[in-house]
Amino acid sequence: MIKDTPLIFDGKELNNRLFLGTGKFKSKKDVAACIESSGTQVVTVALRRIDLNRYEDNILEYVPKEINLMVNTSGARNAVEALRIARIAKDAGYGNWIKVEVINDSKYLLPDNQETIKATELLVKEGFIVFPYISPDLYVARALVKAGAAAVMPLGSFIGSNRGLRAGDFIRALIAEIELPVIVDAGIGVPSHAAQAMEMGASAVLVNTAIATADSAASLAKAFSLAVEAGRMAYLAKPPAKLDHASASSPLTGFLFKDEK
Amino acid sequence: MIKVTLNGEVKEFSDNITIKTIIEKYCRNSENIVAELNRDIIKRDKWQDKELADGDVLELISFMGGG
Repeated sequence: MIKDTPLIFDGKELNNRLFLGTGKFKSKKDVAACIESSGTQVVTVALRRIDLNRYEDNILEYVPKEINLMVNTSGARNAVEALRIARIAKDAGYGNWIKVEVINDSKYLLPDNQETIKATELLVKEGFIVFPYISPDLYVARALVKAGAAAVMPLGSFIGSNRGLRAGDFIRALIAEIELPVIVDAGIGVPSHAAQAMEMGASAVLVNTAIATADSAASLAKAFSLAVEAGRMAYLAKPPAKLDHASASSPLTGFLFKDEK
Repeated sequence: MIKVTLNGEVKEFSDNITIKTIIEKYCRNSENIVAELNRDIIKRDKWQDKELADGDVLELISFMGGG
């Protein structure tokens, strides 16, 4: 058996390669249940104004202390807003790992790659560990390497669409060409999508909507975790290439038709 | 009385009210709250002394679920 090595960010060793998003859950207790069932070590959270009209439970009360928090900059429409959100997160004592998410478009929710590069440059200079969420584009990914990103996070398909690896070919190019870990984020709808991403050589997968909106979130979180592990193991095992013809898996000679010609 | 824009809503408060008093009023638990006054983050240890002025814009921010 090939032994896997941990994924390391900021000196933190990650042996579980499923990252969990915490949006859209019916109950915050489900978040805790999913963290437990999946064994995830990285959880994303967002920052928002508190609701003045009712006391709210804080999401962090449901996330065990040993979990690595990644604060996303969702709501930011440009690099400056992303920086503002990151600074707020850091001041709260949590925000060293930042998922840069800069979105201007409300229908497709596609990340603004150019502003994301700018935000990454600014955040790296301030000492953040930066995980930029991008549309998979090789030139953008190269710019992010140069900017000092810790990883790149290309979308698999539209956020929340559960459509799987529609952008798979482009993600594959990033995996082949970029030295940084590639973490597939967005659009992963079922565990087989996650397994596929890992088989391609993704370093990790971030899942939110699919798990959060499932009938049994904790069960699906576990299923995703198993799929990520299976896909990772398959990647390391280097499966053989696809053929466009048959290749027998049982011997065709030497038994029934022995000596016949 | 002074008028302060708190999380986007204009509200009236008594003169000399501090950030700490406002946070105690609106937050069940102040542990993960960040206070931003006129775009500047006010450190937790300053909440008690920081009095608000008429026209101030105060944002109280916390962590929520998010992908």
